[in-house]
Amino acid sequence: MEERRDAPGHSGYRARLMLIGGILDDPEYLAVIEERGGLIVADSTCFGSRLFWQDVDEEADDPLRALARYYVADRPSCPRVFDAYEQRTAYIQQMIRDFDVDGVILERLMFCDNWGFEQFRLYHDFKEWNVPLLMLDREYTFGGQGQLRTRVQAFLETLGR
Amino acid sequence: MDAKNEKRLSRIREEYELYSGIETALSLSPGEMTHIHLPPIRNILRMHKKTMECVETGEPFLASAFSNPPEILTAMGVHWYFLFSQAFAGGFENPHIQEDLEALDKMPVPSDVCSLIRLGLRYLDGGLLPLPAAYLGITEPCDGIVGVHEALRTHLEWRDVPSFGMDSPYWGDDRSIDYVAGELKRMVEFVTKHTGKTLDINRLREVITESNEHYRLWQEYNELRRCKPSPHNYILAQSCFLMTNFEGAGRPEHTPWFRDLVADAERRVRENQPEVPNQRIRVLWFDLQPIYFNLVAPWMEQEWGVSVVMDMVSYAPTR
Repeated sequence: MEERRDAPGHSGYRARLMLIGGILDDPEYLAVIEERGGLIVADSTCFGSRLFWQDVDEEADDPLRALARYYVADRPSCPRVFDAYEQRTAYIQQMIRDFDVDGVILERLMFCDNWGFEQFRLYHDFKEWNVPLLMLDREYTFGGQGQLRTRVQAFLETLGR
Repeated sequence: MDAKNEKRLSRIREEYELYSGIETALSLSPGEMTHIHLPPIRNILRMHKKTMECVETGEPFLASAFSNPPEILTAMGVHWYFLFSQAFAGGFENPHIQEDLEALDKMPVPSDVCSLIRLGLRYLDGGLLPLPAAYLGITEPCDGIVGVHEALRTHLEWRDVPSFGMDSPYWGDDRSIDYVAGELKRMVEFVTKHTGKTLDINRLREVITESNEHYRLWQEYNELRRCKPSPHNYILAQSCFLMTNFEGAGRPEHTPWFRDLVADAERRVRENQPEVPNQRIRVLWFDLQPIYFNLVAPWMEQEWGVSVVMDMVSYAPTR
């Protein structure tokens, strides 16, 4: 990691993006975003970095309790969990700062109520933070690629890129 | 009162005017069902009047959902309003529904989320909910309800309102019962902290005795609905829910109403005088009645001879 810190990174992208939302296990979805010039540098998805950004306490007397604490309290949770919105948004804001994010794409698997409500709350907060946000609904099977390209393209243009 | 609070009360004031007019009209020209239709209307008027008084005088009141045992709040003498009550307009056609649905389309809430829940968010975002001293959420196994309460807790205008979300388990064993009892005690402490009202256990016993009687009579009424033809139209079963689950649950003045309801149903069965004549089709309305129920149900009755003999709102809470 130390060696890579000063190494040349990706170039030729139009904007540095963060991807947030529910489960996403299809790399093709990311490929479509990146082929339009949006470089995904950070994420907060149900299968993404927020699952492992914290470590389980290795020094705890009771490793089972340490694991339990990690699962229910330490790592930012799914929006299903009550009273955890602030923790999730703090994580998102931290990632935006640390990874120098230009804009955020929120992808929601249709009929996921939990992310539907998260979208309602985040819409207001992103306005307050003055961070550009693109909200996308998607189906589990990857259809509508043309529509995704158009939306991402337009979003990048609104970013001035 | 400032403009924001006036707007928050505006729908309640409108409904109050509407129901006052209906109450006056029914009182001036009573029919054979007036004594049964009037008490639920007067209950709505009493609830709305109290909400308006609380906002105007600064008396602490709560916002809540019916899933939080309303008997406790009755026993504590705390006024509360139901967060989604505007959607139903007390059983009449909601005059704002078109405007609200159009507003929903512009909101950042996906259209595949339950529309009742989205309406709750519309009232929140539109500044149409009276701002309470505190509110009671519930983390029951309905994603939408959890979402609404999180939305209230984090919303710009509501984020300083203290909230309590009672946690409910997935099982019904002794451990779960003890857990819920602990949650209810925490809820009482929370309500006391934010309203100054305390719980007298003997008063709670009185309220529970009364609400048990209401549920017993409601069950008797539901048994009568089984008869062919079914005695009443679609309206009164919904009123049972209103009289037991909203603010004022367990009030002794509701008991005569339940008795009158059962007596009228019994008479109609005995004399073969159903409210809906020529019943040809018996319907179970599964799940919640939609907002347009009060439009479609009369049409079904008149055009098709449909009798809605059971629905989940009128049966699920029966103990």
